[in-house]
Amino acid sequence: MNLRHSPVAFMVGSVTCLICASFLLLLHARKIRDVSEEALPMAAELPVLEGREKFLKEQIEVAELHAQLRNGSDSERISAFVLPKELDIDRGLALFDILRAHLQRMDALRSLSSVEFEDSIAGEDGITAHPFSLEMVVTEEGAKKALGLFSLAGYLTVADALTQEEIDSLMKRSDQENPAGITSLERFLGTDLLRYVLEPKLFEEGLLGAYTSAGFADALQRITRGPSLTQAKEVLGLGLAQVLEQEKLWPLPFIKTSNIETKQDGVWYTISLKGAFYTAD
Amino acid sequence: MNTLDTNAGKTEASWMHRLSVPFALFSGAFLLLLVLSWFFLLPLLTRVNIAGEKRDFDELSSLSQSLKASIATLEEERDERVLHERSPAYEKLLSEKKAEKNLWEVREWIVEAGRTLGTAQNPVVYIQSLSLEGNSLTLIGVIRSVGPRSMTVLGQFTEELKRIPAFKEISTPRFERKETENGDFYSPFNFKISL
Repeated sequence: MNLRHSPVAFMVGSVTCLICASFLLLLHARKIRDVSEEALPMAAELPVLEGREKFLKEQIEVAELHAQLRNGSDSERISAFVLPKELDIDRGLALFDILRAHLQRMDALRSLSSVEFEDSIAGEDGITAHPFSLEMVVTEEGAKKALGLFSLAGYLTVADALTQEEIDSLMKRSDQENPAGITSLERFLGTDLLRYVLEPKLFEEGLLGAYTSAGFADALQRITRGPSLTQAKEVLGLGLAQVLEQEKLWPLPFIKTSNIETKQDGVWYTISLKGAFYTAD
Repeated sequence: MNTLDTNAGKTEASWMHRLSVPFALFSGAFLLLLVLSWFFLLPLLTRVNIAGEKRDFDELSSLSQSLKASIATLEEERDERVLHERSPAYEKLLSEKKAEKNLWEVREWIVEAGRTLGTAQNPVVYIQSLSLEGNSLTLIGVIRSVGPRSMTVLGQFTEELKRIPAFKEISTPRFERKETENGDFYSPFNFKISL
């Protein structure tokens, strides 16, 4: 046995052990830091998260119950008027007649051509498009009214007229101020759009009854005076909402526009429009 | 001299020989203690009591992430119920319709962009035609009433259009200056814009 080398071997081994020990000491320190900086706050947060999960499950049960009551009537209206199984040409043409009469009352219409229908296009998902085209010569107000009406055609509720950002903002506010008021918010968002345009204050005050803070009132005002609902009120204003109600033309049949061209000549705008009505199985 | 070197060498060797074993024992024992601490002591000391149940950091982290994911899913489901999802066909058409831009709103943005270059009494951007097909916009018009500066103003109008957030891509127009029979200068434009 060579005793000269064995002390060196022991020393090398010792240094190696000390290096590994330093590494383990570092891991210990990190673990203890993780516990104090992350685990303790996480532990405090867990009961809150569990409470929120439980509360959301309860909200879903309540919303499901309400949905069963409301969805029935909404679905019937959609399949009868908005997205029927077969194209109701009379209803479609009645819409253009009402638009013509309304624009004439506004002195905003010079001419409105007849509606030209093209061959239907059946989609794979059971939706069939029924394309049409028309041309009108209108003032700027007339153009806003006509194009605005086509953009609302097919909407049913207040929520349909709002953007996703506006809806998310109301939901977030509701969660912060009074989560139990979700049924009132649901009722407001599910309000028929025409009914809301006819009596906006009634429905807004109904919602504010569940959320009494000034913060929620401000948020609601920003949305009800925002571009989405303001446009709906302007388009359906000046008596158009009442006419649509009297003529039983609401909800309007679903229309999407595929091509709009405008040409200006002084105060008159020639609008050539291609769009489509829709039916669904 | 050789005797001295041999004595110094013998002293060093005996020093290392004496220290190596205790040093090795110490470092080995130290490492062993730390290993035992890592596997047995530290988990005991770093477990947190949650509602009577002790959990370590990894379990806490996993539970927290799982709860947050569950909450996100439940919030989506709750929002869908509140918004009364109706037939899939209707919801599909509705979301396509909401993604469409309102031509008159787009026109207002363009008019506003043009307004910065002229005055209310003397607008310099004249829109002859605006057509929207899907998300493609074609804007045809002229820059007028600015004399021989019409091409410069057209360049400024192009920059103003690029500032409109909803306009993703704007084609560069042909810059030319034309003259009417009356000697007035104008610059026609034809923009293709992707929304």
